[in-house]
Amino acid sequence: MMAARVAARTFWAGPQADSVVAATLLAALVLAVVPPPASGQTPPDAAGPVAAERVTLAFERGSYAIVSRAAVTKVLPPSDALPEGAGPFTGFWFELRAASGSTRYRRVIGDPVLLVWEAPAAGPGGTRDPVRAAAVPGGRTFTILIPAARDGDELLLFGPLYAPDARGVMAAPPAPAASLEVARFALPRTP
Amino acid sequence: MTSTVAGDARPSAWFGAHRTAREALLAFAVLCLCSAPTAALAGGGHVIGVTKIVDHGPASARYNLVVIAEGFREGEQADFAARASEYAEYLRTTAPFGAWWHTINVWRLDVASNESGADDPADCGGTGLVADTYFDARFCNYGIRRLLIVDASIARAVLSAQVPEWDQALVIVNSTVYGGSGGSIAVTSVGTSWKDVAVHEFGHSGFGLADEYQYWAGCGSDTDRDHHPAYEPSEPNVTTQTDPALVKWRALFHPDVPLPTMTNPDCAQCDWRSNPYPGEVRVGLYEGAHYYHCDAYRPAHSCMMRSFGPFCPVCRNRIEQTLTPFARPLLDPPAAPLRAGTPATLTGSGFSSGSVVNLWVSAAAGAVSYGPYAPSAVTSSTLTWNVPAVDLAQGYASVRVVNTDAGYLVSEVRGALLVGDAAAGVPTILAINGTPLAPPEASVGLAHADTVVARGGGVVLVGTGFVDALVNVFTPEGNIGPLAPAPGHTDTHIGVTIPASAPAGPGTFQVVNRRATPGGTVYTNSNAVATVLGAVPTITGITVSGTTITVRGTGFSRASVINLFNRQGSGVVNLGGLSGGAPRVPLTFVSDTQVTFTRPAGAAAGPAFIELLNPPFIPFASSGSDPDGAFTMP
Repeated sequence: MMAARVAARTFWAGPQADSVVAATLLAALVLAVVPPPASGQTPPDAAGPVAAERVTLAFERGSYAIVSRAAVTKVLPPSDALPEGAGPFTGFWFELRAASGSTRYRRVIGDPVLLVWEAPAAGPGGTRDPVRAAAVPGGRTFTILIPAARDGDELLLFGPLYAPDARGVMAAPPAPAASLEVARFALPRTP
Repeated sequence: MTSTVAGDARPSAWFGAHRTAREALLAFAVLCLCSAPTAALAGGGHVIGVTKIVDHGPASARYNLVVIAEGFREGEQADFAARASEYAEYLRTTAPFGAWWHTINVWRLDVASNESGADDPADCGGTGLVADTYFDARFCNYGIRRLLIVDASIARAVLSAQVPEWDQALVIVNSTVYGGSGGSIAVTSVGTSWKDVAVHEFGHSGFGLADEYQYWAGCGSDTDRDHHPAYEPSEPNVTTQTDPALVKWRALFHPDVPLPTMTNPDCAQCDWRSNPYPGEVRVGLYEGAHYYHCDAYRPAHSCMMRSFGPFCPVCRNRIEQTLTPFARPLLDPPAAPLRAGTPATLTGSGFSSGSVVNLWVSAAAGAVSYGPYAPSAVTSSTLTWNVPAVDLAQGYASVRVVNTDAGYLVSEVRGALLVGDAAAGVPTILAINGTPLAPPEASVGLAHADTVVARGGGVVLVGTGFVDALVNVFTPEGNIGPLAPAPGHTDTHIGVTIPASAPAGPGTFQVVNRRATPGGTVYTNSNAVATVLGAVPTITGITVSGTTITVRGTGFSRASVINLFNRQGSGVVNLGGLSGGAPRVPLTFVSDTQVTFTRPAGAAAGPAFIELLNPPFIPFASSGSDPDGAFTMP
């Protein structure tokens, strides 16, 4: 519709117009408002709400599965970069990858598998320091938000590798090791 | 009555069956995607509803934090509401959230449980209480009393149904026994320091921040916490990197700190030495982080992620970076026309002290850009600025707000009618023959009054600021003005007679004030207001002779364009409209009651239908889906 109006301006300024004044004013009658960028500045990507998905995943005995996908329109946090260098890295993050292999979206998040709660305790320096309680559950579900998937997209999870029989209180963090790709799902396009 | 000249077909009512089928298909697709996963059976109680207790704009545009009640009976909902507000206020006063508060909505999800509290098994030293609650909250998971969890599948189903755009949730359990668990749906009781711990967990789940403390189970309890393995944490606030040029927070290093800033002299022990810069937060490399005594560094001596103190600058930076896309200013449609040369107040959300206003005016030469304009007063939800004394041109302006101090995020563009200030001698047309200006429409982008002005008769313009005025009337064949006003005109009413010879079709009125000055006559234009002259286009019949199609009706003009819908196979194609600025089906103008055209090359024999439209394609200027537009393509 807008393109048609913009095009119509040229049409109006054609030979039908009998006078320059008339042609000029009439041309403006069919203008669509197409604002230029803010003066002297190029705004960053501020597209506002986008087509997105909430993906619910289940962890059970060391492996992951997609439980559900739901479309949602909203602003998403920015995509993350991994630290400079070739790695290896620790931590947990997810990636939405295009069919070309390029990363469309990545977020570094807290490990969604571990059940953790801390409690403040009096520290030697008069501080209140966290005392940690953590457990690996037999199963846990969690959700992530990603941009709407396109044909050929994949969802990848990276994190510590939990043994299938890992369950219960963690007296120590996962064995020192780099985060691995722990799951990969073909993600059919969001309808 | 509708108008369009889009090159792609807009199925008319005539092809209603096709549209219905397509819409049904789309609706089915949406349903398939959005159907919620099967919810687990909820425990005892019921969902009361959701209330937005901190409202900074639409859920789709802001970061949505949802606080959920668990173990609160119906009569205890006021207690829950107080806890929810307490948490929201605590978060607001925790830097940097206060400065970014305009990016966050807080929702209170009221859920009534049959009984108070949560299960507190005696196995862990608990009271043995078994409570019938909606989300089945329970302490003592995996043998840890303070590990308090709820049924996540129920919580997620309720949450997604009530606030589909939720980003982070916190279930508040009505128990003073200390406990909780982290995650995107975090859980906390209201035991000692619960708000501190909830914010710390928010740092993990909402912003991907790592723990900065130097032990796992506790100093003295751990036996293998001496050296961090040689892997770089992906989180933004801990590192194993000691090359300053490669540290991820190098941009925030204090200029007067050594790097590393503190090193642990005994990696077999936690390092409890105090801050070498008492009373200051100097970003550097402080050894002892991420559950290890040595070889892992944190950005500052203390932080929320280390000891429940204030967030350090690096963590604040991460939180701000995450919230930045949610900081976009949102602009409400202006409630009143913009008056050139006078102050105006815009409303919305997310305005900042660095907000400025961009203005565009629909004018003859295109959309003319003005500004940016700094406001004379601004709050997060209101912005007052002085609309410049610009030429009113087409009587339509677009505005948007840019937060120049917050990443130059821009609001949506909003349209408004643009009127003049009579006190400054600028005339404005507000109504034509009793028909007021139509509300501003971005898809039209100019002022118009949806009325038909008869040719050979009088027309009354109502407005403000008419002084020694003449009237221009622009048509496809030129300006038939200036017309002198009839006797008895005032500064708010002008009557003129439209010549009977005026062409039918679009007609745009403009009042021009004349003012004598020593330098000559000064002319001041009003807004130009589009109407229909003569008759609205209608089609009364179509005849076909060979390949020539003749259309009869009313209100045709030399500028008329047609949409030509033609059934081709099982679909419908618009062969008309515009392409490259020219009509795809050229019309031969015979009179304002007759035009002809030649069968286009791409047409298929069979059913066809036309709509005839007059620029500027405003409502009330098209034949629409007049059933007489149907014919059989030869």
